[in-house]
Amino acid sequence: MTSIEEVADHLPDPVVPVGAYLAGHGLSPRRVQIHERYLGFREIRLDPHRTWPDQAVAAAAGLSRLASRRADVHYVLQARTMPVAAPHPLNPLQEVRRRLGLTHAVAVCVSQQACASALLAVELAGRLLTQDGDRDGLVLVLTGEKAFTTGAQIISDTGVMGEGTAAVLVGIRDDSGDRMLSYTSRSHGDYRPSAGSLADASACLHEAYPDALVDVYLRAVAAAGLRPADVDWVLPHHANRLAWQRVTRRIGLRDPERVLLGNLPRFGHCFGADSFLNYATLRRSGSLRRGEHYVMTAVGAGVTFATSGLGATFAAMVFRH
Amino acid sequence: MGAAHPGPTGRRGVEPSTPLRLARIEHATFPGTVTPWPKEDRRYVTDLVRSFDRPDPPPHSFAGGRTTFRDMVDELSRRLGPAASFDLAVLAHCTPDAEPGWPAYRLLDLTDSAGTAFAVSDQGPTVAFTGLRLATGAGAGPGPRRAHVWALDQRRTLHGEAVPARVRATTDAAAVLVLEPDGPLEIATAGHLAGVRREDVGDVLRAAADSADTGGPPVTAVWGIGVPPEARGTAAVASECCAEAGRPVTGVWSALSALWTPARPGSGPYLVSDYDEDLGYLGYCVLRPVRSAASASDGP
Repeated sequence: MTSIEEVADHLPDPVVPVGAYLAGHGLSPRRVQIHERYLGFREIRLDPHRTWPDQAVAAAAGLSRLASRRADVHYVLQARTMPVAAPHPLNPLQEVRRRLGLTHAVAVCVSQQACASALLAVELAGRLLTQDGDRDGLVLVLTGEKAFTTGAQIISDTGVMGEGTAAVLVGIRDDSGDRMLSYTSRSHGDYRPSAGSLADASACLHEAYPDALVDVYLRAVAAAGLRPADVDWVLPHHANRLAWQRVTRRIGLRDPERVLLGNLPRFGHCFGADSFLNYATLRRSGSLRRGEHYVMTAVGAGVTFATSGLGATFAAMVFRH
Repeated sequence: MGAAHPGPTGRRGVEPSTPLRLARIEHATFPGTVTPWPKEDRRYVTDLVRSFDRPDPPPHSFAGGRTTFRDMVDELSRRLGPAASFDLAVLAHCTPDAEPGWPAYRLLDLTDSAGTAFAVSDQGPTVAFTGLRLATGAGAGPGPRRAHVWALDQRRTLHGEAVPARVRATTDAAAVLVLEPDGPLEIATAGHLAGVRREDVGDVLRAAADSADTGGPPVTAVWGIGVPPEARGTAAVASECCAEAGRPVTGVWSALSALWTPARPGSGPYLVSDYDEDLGYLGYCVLRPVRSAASASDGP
């Protein structure tokens, strides 16, 4: 039984106002206003002086159990959004493994589902530990990355990406941690209409987005043996506020305020880390009570410019605290 | 995972007790196509190397031939024909794609598969053994009917960084392992170990070779270029072959495919392995021919 044992987060200190940031990227005042007023982005965190390994190590340092259970960590999984993230043969993940004193563990990057790779990594973590048969074994999942290029900084008229990293300890004990009750994902290879452009594909994805997300969400809730009204919290990915408005009214929550969007204006969309950053915030608030159910969501889209191809994965994962 | 838990392999899974076997290997090398670089890709690569405080790629970097992972999956999916569809596909590579692309989504689109596709990387040359573990060892939960493990090597770099031989591709190459419940080679072991010292590699491989030897045909070993010569000598194998240099991930699988004839009953067993001394990773697998019901009941 896969469970989340602990989550720690790291947000860089430098705060960047989204308005000035987008204007610096050449967006018109009107489009800046759209991102701020309608999509809900206010500021992001960016630290050009700290590398991804610096940020990942900082996040892992916040895990209270890591030091005492280092020997139990079998795997380090980096859940990555960007398809190419370092000049070969530089290997930031193996650097993190070494800096954390985890050279006895197998480290591997899980990718190609973009921002949905993080939930996939949690799922794979449970499977690997189950295969190993060590019920005390742990996997360290790391997610969140550097916004190093325009395509990784702004998703035009959709989202603004920020830097924020989550370190997640995953185990398989059934007597500790937050138990994963279900995981559902669905990948769509290409939204491109025949002979269509990338703009057509984006419009196609935008149109399909609410239905696809609601579908995996409700299937995950049902697979967990729950009714939609049984869900106490939604820990969302930070697509944008408008996208969530289109989804929230269709997922049967008792209280729409339980979709935790408070971090979206503060951090932007931190790649695969959003749901885990929201988890850390919820835990710190003391609002998550024993036995409550929550759903993490993710959507990972990837554009291949050479072909104008656009694929996406929609995923949802249900836990009991 | 419980029965109510769809898991990443989708709804078309079979019971976890149905193990996947190696049914086929398809592989190819690529001469490099002359594909123009979209401005977005040039910008991406330039920003990437700058973010690591490296100098900009020289202008000629964006000229000449390149083979993307997309090109590779296009070609091998075509060759696989009906076997190109999958429930689970794991792409494994230690060299980067020649474009910031999405070959997993390409695979799903090409094959109209409703399955799951993702990549594993940044683990050096042993990464395909992790891919094999993930594809075969569903652990608890429903497993796929057909899984693919894609080994991918891509030779272009867009900077002046020196690349050590263990992770340097000199050939654009791909190999896809097709895993099905009724394949002729049982995947008896798919292991990936960390913290393995060079002097311990031989012991692990000897034990693996012993496990492959079940009294049938002798074991054939396929060594990756990282397996130390002294370790090769410790395993009791009847014959051996070595992966071609310059193909860090695909090399062992192409070598295996040259030895193995799926249609010939009893072909195998095989021990396939590679070692990365820098990272302390040892990947290996033991592949045994599936004994037919008739031969299994033949007693002395």
